[in-house]
Amino acid sequence: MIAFKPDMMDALTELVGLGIGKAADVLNSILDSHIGLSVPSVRLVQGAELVEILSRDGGNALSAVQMRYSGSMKGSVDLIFTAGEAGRLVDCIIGEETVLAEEGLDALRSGTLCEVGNIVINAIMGTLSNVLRLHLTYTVPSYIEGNATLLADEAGIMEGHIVLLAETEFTVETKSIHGRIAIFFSPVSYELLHAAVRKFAGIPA
Amino acid sequence: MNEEFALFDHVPLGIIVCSGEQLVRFWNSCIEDWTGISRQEIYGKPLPSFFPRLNEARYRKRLDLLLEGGPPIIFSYQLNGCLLPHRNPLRMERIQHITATSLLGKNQEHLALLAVEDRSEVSARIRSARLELTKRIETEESLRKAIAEKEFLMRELNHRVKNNLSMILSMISLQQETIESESFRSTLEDLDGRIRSFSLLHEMLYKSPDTTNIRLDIYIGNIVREMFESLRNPASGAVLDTEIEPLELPFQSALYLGLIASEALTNAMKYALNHRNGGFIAISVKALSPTSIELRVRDDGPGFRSGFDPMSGESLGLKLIQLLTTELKGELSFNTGENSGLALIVRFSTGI
Repeated sequence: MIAFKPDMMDALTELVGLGIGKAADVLNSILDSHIGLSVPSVRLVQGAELVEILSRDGGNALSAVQMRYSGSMKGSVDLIFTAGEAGRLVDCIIGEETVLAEEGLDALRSGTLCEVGNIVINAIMGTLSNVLRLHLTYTVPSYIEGNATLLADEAGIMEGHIVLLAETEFTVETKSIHGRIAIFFSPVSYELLHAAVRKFAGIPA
Repeated sequence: MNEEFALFDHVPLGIIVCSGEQLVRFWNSCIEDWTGISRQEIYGKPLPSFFPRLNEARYRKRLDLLLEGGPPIIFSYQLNGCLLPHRNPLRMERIQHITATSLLGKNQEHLALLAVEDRSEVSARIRSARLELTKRIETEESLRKAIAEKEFLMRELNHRVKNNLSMILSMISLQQETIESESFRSTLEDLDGRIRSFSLLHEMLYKSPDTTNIRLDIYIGNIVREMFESLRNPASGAVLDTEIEPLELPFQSALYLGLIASEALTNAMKYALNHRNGGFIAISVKALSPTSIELRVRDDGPGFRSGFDPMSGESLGLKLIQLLTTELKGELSFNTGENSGLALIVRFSTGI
């Protein structure tokens, strides 16, 4: 794996931050309650490492919204919460409290999470593809529930795949909910991303 | 009829295709039913002219992006309500979940494809399941409260009964001091022992978290040890050996078994250990099977005197033991050793 130099990592973090900021704008324009998204911490990890991180936090109960992309690069992008956090986020947004918050989402609530995930993913991927001049098309968002291995399988992750992991806090009123955006890259897509970010940051090859 | 999208008339989803300015290019039969708007009416007209909410910036902006080839968009019911309602406001509001994607038309122009899912049935099922769950949680909560209250009252009742029995025991004890007749004093002593069995049982019940079942090793163990200590002559060197398994019985059965054990012990102390040094009494309670229990009270005394019939009803203690065994639907038997000793055996089923 070709490493991202610190300057390039800064550029990548800035781009994801821009995307997250845009996501917050869109969310606030459609929601009645104010929602904040913190500046993300961004890092690149191996697929297996992501599974470890997610297993540690969420155990068997994770809720995610996933979209696949293809075109200049191919892969998928997930917005991931622990099942309990996903339930709390939906509760905060719609201003309801349900007794089942810890046990996954029903069809209506998963639909709400899908819309939120769709906005966040579109904003981040839109920013990345616009700035890095990538042409991407996307599948419709789908909702996934399960453990970290299942999520990685659904994302089509394989040996040598790299994940851009951005962690952010969703704040609604006084509540804070931890979310993760994981963009999965095949080795070839990762090289393309590397080249595009290097070009954007003005660093010679 | 727009032949290009005719296939969409056969899917169980509402399908709408719009071109720039949200002009409707296709309107399938399913969405005709759900909105009451025919395709003839809507073709070539902007979608927001029929559904004004779509004119709001938050929808227009996102749909415009789609018409430039942008990524898919979701409009969920909880965040947006029913965006495409039936024109007759009296008709049922459908729970709509809309997925909008970009599509390339024949002339390579970007189109927006809106797929409308009706989640009304799913949502109704979720609502009724949730309602049912809430009711169950409330019922369980009130049952838990009722049980806790009942247990509190039972403990309180047992405490009071135990206190009243202690008062009776004190009165008997005071009375005993004033009585000179040996036989009357002995009668009062027997009575004292019986009341003590009741008192101990109620004491256990108000101290235990379980107000319905009694642990035999604790209850019967305590009764017989307490009685043995109060009735024995310390100088005689008599020994009591107990071997009681930690079995549980409901309140009433435990009370009967406790009374039988204390009567048998009183008899053994009166007739087997009396007027001699040494001697022993062994009391055991064990499960013969998962549903049957045996109580055995054995001594090394002289056994029944010649010609004595234990079932004749001559002795009040033995008569009580017979009655209590009948209450337990059990069997009473006696075993006399070859040289000396007597064993009283009660076997009963816990399954009845």
